[in-house]
Amino acid sequence: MFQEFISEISGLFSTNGDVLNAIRTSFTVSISAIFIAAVFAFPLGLLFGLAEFKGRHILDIILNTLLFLPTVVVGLLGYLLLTRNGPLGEFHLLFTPAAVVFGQIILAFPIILTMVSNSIRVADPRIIPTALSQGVGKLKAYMALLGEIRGLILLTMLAAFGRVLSEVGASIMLGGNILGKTRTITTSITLLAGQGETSKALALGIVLLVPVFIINVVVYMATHRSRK
Amino acid sequence: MNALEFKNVKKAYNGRLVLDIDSLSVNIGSRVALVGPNGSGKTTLLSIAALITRPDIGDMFIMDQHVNWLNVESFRQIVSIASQEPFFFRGSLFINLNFALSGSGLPRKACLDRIDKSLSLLGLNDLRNESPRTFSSGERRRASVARALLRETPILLLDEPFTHMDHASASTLAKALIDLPHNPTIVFSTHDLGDAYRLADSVLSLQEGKLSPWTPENLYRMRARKIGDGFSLETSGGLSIYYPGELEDDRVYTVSLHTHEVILSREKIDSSARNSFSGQVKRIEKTGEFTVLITIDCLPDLPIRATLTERATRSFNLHVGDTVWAHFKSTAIHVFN
Repeated sequence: MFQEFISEISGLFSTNGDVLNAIRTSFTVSISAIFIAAVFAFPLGLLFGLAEFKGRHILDIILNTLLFLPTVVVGLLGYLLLTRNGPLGEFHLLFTPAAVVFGQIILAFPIILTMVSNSIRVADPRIIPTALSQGVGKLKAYMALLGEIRGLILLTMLAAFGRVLSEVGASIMLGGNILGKTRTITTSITLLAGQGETSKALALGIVLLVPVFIINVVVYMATHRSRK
Repeated sequence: MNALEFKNVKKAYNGRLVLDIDSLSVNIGSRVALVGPNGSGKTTLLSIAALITRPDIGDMFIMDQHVNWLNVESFRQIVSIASQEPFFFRGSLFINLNFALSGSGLPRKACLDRIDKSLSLLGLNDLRNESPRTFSSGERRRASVARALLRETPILLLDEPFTHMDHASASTLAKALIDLPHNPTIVFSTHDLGDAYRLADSVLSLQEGKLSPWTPENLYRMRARKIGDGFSLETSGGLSIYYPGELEDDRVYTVSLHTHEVILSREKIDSSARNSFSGQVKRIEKTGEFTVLITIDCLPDLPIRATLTERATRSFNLHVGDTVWAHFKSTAIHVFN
């Protein structure tokens, strides 16, 4: 059984460049999505974490609900937006890697926003007053706060990355699983499983996990060291 | 000129008024002790003075300048605080101290000199590269004072700086604070009368958030008389306490006795404590979460107050009217000039 897996995994890489292409697409698309989502969600998360305003509880509930957004629903909504007759149809993005990035941004956005804002709320309430009372100025005080919660921020990014890298619904509906263009590891697995190639599909799943495992090791080491 | 002034300052938490000061002013260069039981508002007052907590209403003046709470950054350069439960950032004590100076604009060399000076003053040189999160309570307290001293601000606020410190360390710190070359105005909270007198030139008492007339615990006027290897401090009623230190013969001194250092017993006991007095329990009052203050009348001019834990009071089964013996060592006595 084990040997069969090993030969399947080596087979995946030896036949042609399709698997490598899928891995590359998966990581390129997901990293782009996380990066773009973070640019918008991170500052908003900081703002929600620090500010007190009316209706915050309702917003929390809405954001928490969005964490459970089914990927296929995001795919469907994205499809309706990007399809030729949809509101964004004129950009001809459907079935391109950009469309998959678009879908994954929608998935990652509430995760980053909610987790950044919660990390701030659970942080020690003395951090900002301590920094300010030392006369360092607001910007530096907020930087000190971020320094204290950097482990949680890193975990947030990891959670969001895990969510978008492993999703399949949005990738299939918005990317179309086009070989060499929008085929990702997860859409490849879906295709192989559909064709009855379960061993290959499983082997590909393990291929997906290896880089994720390495990232986790790095994050663990970083957070473990910064806990002191 | 007033270093600090409060006018009609009120602060409530969850509907409970914790601070209600009609008028309070602290002269520049003075050293003021804030005394009062737990929950009397000492920490809130210091936190407002340190511009950490904003009062609900009222006016505050720092160096005679009205504090505008929407723009307090310039005032924060004048005030520093060592909190009762200080927060330390990740990293070593040195990193924390360095951070405290990062907004000062001082050159690197001057920063390092100040850090060295502050660490030496508080006896923290050996802990320089350790994380304050691994420190004991006493070490954390000292680290917090070291951090507050760094910026050499004209106003220094210390929330129970001597707690978890032994007498020798507390005396060294008090002396160091008195000798600070920039002569800051110091406001500090304490439960300990000895500490209050050691450092302060005036005492403010807080009761349930309000300033109240201060009634000292175990504070006596006594005349010194030379006897053998030391002195006898005598009350007008005739009771005397042995004191081993150097005093002026026939001079009247203010003497305090630390309430925590009084031991009670039912019978007279033979112990190393040179001072033993018998009297009747007059009052038993709860002063904190775990402590009880017991007042014993030995003579009308020598009421002795002792602080016991609640558990000790219960197991001792002490009631008002009981006759008890109070014992204390000569080293528990502080004589003020």
